[in-house]
Parts: sequence; C-alpha cells; structure tokens
Amino acid sequence: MVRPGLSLGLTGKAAVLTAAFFVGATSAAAAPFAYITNQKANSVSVIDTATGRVTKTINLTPGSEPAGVAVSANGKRICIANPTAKTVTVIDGPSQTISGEIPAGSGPVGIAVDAKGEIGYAADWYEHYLAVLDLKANRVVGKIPVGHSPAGVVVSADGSKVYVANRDDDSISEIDAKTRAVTRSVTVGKHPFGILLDRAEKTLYTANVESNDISVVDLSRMQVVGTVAVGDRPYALSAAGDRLFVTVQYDNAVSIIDAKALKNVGKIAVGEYPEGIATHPDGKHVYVANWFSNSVSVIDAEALKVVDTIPTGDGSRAFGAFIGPRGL
Amino acid sequence: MKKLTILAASLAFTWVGVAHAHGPSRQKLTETVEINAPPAKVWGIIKDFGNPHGWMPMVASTHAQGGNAPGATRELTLKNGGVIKEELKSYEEDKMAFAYKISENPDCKVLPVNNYSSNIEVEASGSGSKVTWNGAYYRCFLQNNPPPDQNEESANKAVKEVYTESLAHLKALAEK
Repeated sequence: MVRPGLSLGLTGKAAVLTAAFFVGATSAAAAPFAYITNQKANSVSVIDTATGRVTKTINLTPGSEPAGVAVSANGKRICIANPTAKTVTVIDGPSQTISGEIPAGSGPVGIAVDAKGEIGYAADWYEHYLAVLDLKANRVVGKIPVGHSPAGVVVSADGSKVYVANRDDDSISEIDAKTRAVTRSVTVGKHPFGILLDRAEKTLYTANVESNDISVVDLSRMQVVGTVAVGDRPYALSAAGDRLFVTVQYDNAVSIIDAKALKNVGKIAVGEYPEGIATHPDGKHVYVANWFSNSVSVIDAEALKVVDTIPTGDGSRAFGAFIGPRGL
Repeated sequence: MKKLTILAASLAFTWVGVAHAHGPSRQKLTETVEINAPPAKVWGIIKDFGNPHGWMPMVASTHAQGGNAPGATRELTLKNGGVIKEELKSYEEDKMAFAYKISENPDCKVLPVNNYSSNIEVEASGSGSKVTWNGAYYRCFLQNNPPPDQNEESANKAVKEVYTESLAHLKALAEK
C-alpha cells in the first residue's frame, strides 16, 4: 500500500493546486485513518492508511445500520449516523473507542462535524431538519428546519456556515451556524445527495442521483454555473488536484471530472455499488467505499487507477468525510 | 399462564422492534447456485437479456428491445399478471456477466421494491459452474413506518423467492 506523503507529499504543482483548490481533511499530524461505516455489519472498519489494513473494527449497537460518517479535521472526534437506530454514535479519535450515543430524531443519514470536533450536524431524513449536536455534552442542542429529505452535509472550515442537500426538494440550503437559520438556497439537479465544498469555499458541487449529473454552484451568487453529466446514479464526490471524483452506483465506477473545464474525462472501475468517497490528506489518493463488494478501493488520483482494494465489513457506505488524522 | 404472558410480552417486543426498524436502509441480497454443467452451457441459457421467460419460472412473456447492448430494455409480464420494466446496464460476454436495473419502480403488489439494481454472473466451479445473483433495492414504502407488506422483510422475501426459484429452475435446465 501507499505511504501517505503527509506534508512532504504536498510539494510540486499538483499539490499546490490541491491546496489552493479544495477542502480535504487537513492538518495531518499522523498517518490518517479512514473510518468506514458498514451498514449490514453494524460496525466501523478503521483503516490505517499508512498500511492499507483494517487495524480495528468498532462494533455498534446491533440494528444501528450506520450510513453517515464525519471525522473532525483535528481527528478528535468521529460521528457516525445510524438511520435505523436513530442515533449518532460519537467515537473518541485518540482512543478510537465509542464515547457517546446521542438519540437523534427519526433517521439521521448525512452528518458533518466542525474542524474542532465540538459541534456536529445530522440531517434528519424524515423530519426535514438538521440536528445540532453538542459533542462534548453528547446531546442535541438545536434543530434547524431545512428542505425535504436532507442528505449530504458540509461545514465550512471556520464553522460559520453549513450546507445541506435537500434531496427531495432538488436544492441546497446554506445555514448560518450562529443564528441556526437558512440564509440562502439554490435549486440544483434532481435529488442531490453527496456534496463537496471547494477549499476556497467559493464553489459547491452536488451529486444528483436522479438527473445523473453534478451541479456546480457558485456560492458568491448562490447560482448553478455548470452541470456535468456522469453515469447512472451518482452518489457522492471528492476532489484531488484539479479533478473531481464521483461515485456512480449503477456503473460500479468512479467518474472523473476536469474541475476547470467542467468536463467528464473518463471513469475508473471500482467495486460494486460504490458510495462514500474521500480524498486522502496527501491529495494524491481517493478512497471509495463499495457497498455491495464490502471493500474500499484506493485510487491513485494522478495515475487514475485503483492501486489497492481493502476488505472491510458488510455494506460499506462511508457517506461523508471519512478520512482524518488520529487526534491527540 | 405465566408462559403465555412471557410469550405475549416477547411478541409485543418483536412487533415494536419491527415497527421501529425503519430508515432509509438499502437492502442487499445474494443468492448462488452450484450447477453440474459447464459454465458455457449455463451462460447460454441466461445470456440473452430478452429471454428471462426461458429460465425464470414466474415470467410468462417478455417484450424486449436492443438485444444485449447496454441500454437495452425488457418488459416482463409475470404469470400473476404484473409487469416489470428493466434496462440492461452493462454486459460482459467474456466474464459471463451482466448488470441491469428496474427502470420504473413496480407496483408494490407486483414486487415490493424501489430502486432495484442487479448483477448476475456465471463462473467455473470445480467441474461445473456457479451462478451468483446480486440485488440491491429499497423497500417499497419510502416514508416512515411502512405497512407490513411494504417493509424490508417483504422486499427481501419477494426478491429471495424470485432468485431461488429461478436459480433452481436454471439448474434443472442446465443439468438436463
């Protein structure tokens, strides 16, 4: 398996571009870990990205059926959204053990955490709000009404803004984290699910499950400025260099998009039913959870090929920002 | 009497468990069958996307268009009168595999699933063959708290029945 380059890897033009372009998991102080939610196994596979091996399996309460995951940028906390158990499991980053279980509405799916790992946002699929989670107290401290069947969630680096895909409204809502209210929204393609915020936080990308494309949203104007067709049933997206990588469920592949030209430039075959996707902090590798194959594919984002396949647990979804450093 | 109370209590608990077992939880199912016949013979029976009635016992007839090219469609008329519309996603002759999906969610009474997709593959196994059939789908009822005939158990039971009956029939045909 590939050794992460860490800060050493962040040299050269591609790395500068990466740094300039996109938000990834940042501040990697140790070999980052990938936390893969296994829906059918009710567990989380912890992958040490330095060795490409599952070093630990964290078992959740039976019947949790975990879907969403979010690692804080500092690696301090990991949140797991369990739609069937209607809870959010909090994992302590340094010890990689469960530190809390928060009852959260009717069906938390998408989840995001602020950079410090102190505030979480869980999208409630059935009740159409974002639950605000206090991760130190392990409780819900607020509910922000959003659109119908909210799915993917992201938080800006400074924690001031939150974005959510309202799947059944075909829209994105922007939320002011301080006032906990929707400030703006925009209509995108049909049934947006996974979303991605670029590093400069000027552009937001959505994977649209029903219209088989991605929408590009200019956040300064809150307008769609581009649409790129991908394969059948895109699910989530990530970025490395000046490319976007989109999991396409029915194609068993990842579509590659040139983020500058906004063109679909090809696809890479991965496992069956690819879902969650995240870029390694080295900016050079993209990890894909294969729901049907129970594995994670590691893509070399420059050579554009799969360089490793890591067996995980049954029903790997890993919907969210699933890679981050091990917090101290 | 005490026994009855315990039984009632456990039944009540089971019911509550089922009623609360909701959530946007996709289901997956894999069925396999070992067949004492060469892979080429088995593949020969299933390889035509427009010929499911040739080996799936619940299918009465098929209206198909587009052969075995991705994008080909087929409309299955079931023996119970229901109709299922499907589309071929990918076709790999050399791997003896193809992938398809249901293109219009069926009536819950015909097949209680949503967003169904599937892969089927034939491979060599010992001196014979192994067929692996995968399905991914949601239950029919997409809101919270599904009625019993539209929950995950119903979806899994219905798909499992189609797979096991069809694979058993395929085995019988191939071993003839």
